[in-house]
Amino acid sequence: MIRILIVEDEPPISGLIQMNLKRNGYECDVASDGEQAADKIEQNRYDLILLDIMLPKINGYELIDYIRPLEIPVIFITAKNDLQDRVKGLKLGAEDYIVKPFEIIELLARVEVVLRRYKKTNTVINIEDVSIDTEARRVTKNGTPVDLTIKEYDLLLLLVRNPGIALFRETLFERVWGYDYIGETRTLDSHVQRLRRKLGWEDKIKTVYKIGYRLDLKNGNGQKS
Amino acid sequence: MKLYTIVFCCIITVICAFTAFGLGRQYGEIIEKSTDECIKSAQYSHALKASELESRLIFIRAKYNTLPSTSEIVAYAADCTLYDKDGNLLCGNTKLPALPQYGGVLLQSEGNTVTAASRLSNGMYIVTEYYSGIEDLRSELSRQLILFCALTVCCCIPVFAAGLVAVYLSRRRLKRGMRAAAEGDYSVRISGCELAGDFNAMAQAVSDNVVQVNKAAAAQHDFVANFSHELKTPLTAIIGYADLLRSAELDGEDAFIAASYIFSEGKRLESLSLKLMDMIVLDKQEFPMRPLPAGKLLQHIAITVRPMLSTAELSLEFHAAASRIEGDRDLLTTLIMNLLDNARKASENGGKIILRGTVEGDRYRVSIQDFGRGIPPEELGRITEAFYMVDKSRARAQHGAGLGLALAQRIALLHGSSLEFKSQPGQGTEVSFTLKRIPKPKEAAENEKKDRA
Repeated sequence: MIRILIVEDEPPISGLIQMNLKRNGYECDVASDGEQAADKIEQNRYDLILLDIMLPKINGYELIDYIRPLEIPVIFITAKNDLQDRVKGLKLGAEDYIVKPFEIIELLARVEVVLRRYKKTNTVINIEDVSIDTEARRVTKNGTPVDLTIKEYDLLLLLVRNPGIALFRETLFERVWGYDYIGETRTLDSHVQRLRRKLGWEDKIKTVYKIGYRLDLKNGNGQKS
Repeated sequence: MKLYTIVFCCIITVICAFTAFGLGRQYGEIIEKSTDECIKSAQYSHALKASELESRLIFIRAKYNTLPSTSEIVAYAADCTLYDKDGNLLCGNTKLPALPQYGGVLLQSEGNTVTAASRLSNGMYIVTEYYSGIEDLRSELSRQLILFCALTVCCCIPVFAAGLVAVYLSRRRLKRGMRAAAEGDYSVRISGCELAGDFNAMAQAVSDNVVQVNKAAAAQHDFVANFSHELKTPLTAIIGYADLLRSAELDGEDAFIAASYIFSEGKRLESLSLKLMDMIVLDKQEFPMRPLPAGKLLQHIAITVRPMLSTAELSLEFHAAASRIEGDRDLLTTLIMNLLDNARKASENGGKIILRGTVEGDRYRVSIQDFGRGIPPEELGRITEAFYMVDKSRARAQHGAGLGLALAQRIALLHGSSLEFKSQPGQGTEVSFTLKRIPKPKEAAENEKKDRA
C-alpha cells in the first residue's frame, strides 16, 4: 500500500484529495497544520507528501526543510500562481507543484508521475488478462503483444488509472490530445473503438451516454501496490 | 538665473562706461576752464609787471631824458626774464618761446606754468612765468579717472565671475538632482542654489506621491492576492466534489460529504461576494450624514439581533443614552450588526454580550463587549486588515471571509471615527467607536450662554 500524507488546513480540500486518492487505492493521512504534519512524519512512514504552503504554525517552506533529509517526495499545493513562489518551491526540493483551483484528475496524474519517478509504484499494471509495462510502454494480452498507437496507449493508461470513473469527453481530449485540441469528435470515438477491438474489452470500456467513457472492472477499484 | 546675471552684469558695465566717459569729459572741461583762467591771470600779472617796467622806463626817460642802461633795467626787473632786442638773455632763466610783436602778449601754457612774453618800448623782450598748476590738476584728475575705472573693473569682474560660477554650479546641481529624479530616486535634495527650494519642494511632492502610490499598489496587491486565495480554495473544493459526484458512483456517505462541502463552500463564496460588494459600494458612493436618534437606533438593532443570539443561548444587555447623532442609518446598522456578530462568534454558549451607548462630551460612544475568547495583543494591530483572520479554522467553520472588521472599520472611518479595541485573551473583547452628537436646541442655547458668560 502506498501511504500519502495530505498537509492542508482547509478541510474541504483535504477531504476532497483524500476521497479521490482512496478511490484510487492509496492510503491517506491528513494533517491540518505544520506542527501536526511534523509529528506525523516523525511517527509514520510515507511514500509521498502533498503539502500546502500557507499553513498555520509552520508553513510549507519551513516544513520541506524538515522533510528533505527523509527523502520523501513532496508535491506542493498552492493558491499562489506567482512564478517566484513556484520556483522557490521547486528549489527547496519539491518534486512538483499544483496550483489551486486544480482538477482532481490532474492531481492524480502528478501523484502517479512522482511515485513512478521514485519507483514506488509497480511499473507493470496488471488488469485482468491485460498487462501494461509503463516503463517500456508495452501492452500484452495473455502474453501476446498488442500493437497500440501512441494515442491509443495514452487513452488506455488514462482509463486504467481512473477505473470506475466516468471520464468526460473534454477531459479525455485534454489529457490525451492536449489542451488546445479542437478536432472532430469522431476521433475520440474511433480511437476507443479500436482500443476495444484490440484488447477485446468491448464490455469493459463502457460508453456513458452523452458524457464519455468509463472503465468497469469486476472488483471496482484499480490495483495498486 | 543665468540670463538675470548676464543682464545685470551688462547693465553695470554700461553704467560704468558711461560714467567714466562723462567723468572724462567733465574733467576735460575743468582743465580747459582752469587753463583759460590761468592764462587770463598770467596775462594780467604779466601786464602788471610789463607796465611797471615800462612806466619806470618812461619815468627815467622823462626825468633824465635818456634811456636807462641795460643794467639799470635789469635791476628793476625783479622776478622776470629780460631779453635784448636781438633776443639775447639779459637776466632771468625763462625761455623766450617766440618773438612777440609790439603791443601784443604772447602766451604759452606748458606744464604747470604759463609763460607770457611781450615787447617793451625800448625793444627789449620781457618774459614772465605764472604758476598755473594745470599739469598737476590734469594728472590728479586722470589719476582719479583711472582709479574709478580700476575700481569699477575690480568690482564688476568678481561680481560677474561669481554670477557665472553660481549659474554654472546651480545648473550642475539641478542637473544632477533632475537626473537622479528621472532615474527614480525621489529622495534626492539639492542645496546652495536659488532654485533649490523649488526643486526640493517639487521632489518632496513627487516622492510623497510615489510613496502613496506604492503603498496603494502594495495594498491592492495584497488584497488581490488574499482575495484570489479566498476565492480559489472554495472553488477548488466545489469543482472537485462536483466532478467526483458526476463521474463516480459514490456511496451514500461520500456523496453526502461531497454535497455538504459544495453547499458550505458555496455559502462561503456567497458571504465573500456580499461583503465585497458592500466594500465596493462604500468606496464608490457618497453617504449623506443625517441626524439620527442614537438610542432608538441601538434599540432597534438590539431587538433585531436578540432572536439570533438566543439560538446560541446568548443574552444581550442593552444600555443606551438618548442623544441625537449624525450618521447614515443603514451603514451604522451594518457596522453594529457586524460587531455584534463577531461578539457572538467569540462567545461561548450561554454567555453575555453588552451593547452600550454613552455620551462623551460632543461625541456619542457605541461599544460592544463580549466575554469570549479575546484577541491576542500581537494580533490587535492587524485584525481590521481585509482577509486577516486570527483563527482561520474557526473563521472557516463560521463561514467567515475575513472581511467583517475591514468593512466595519471603513464605516467607522466614514463617520469620522475609528474602531478601538480593548481585549484580554480568555476574558473578552470590547470594541467601540464614536459618533458626532448634534446638541439639542436647548442645550445649544445653554452652551451659547456659557460661552458668553
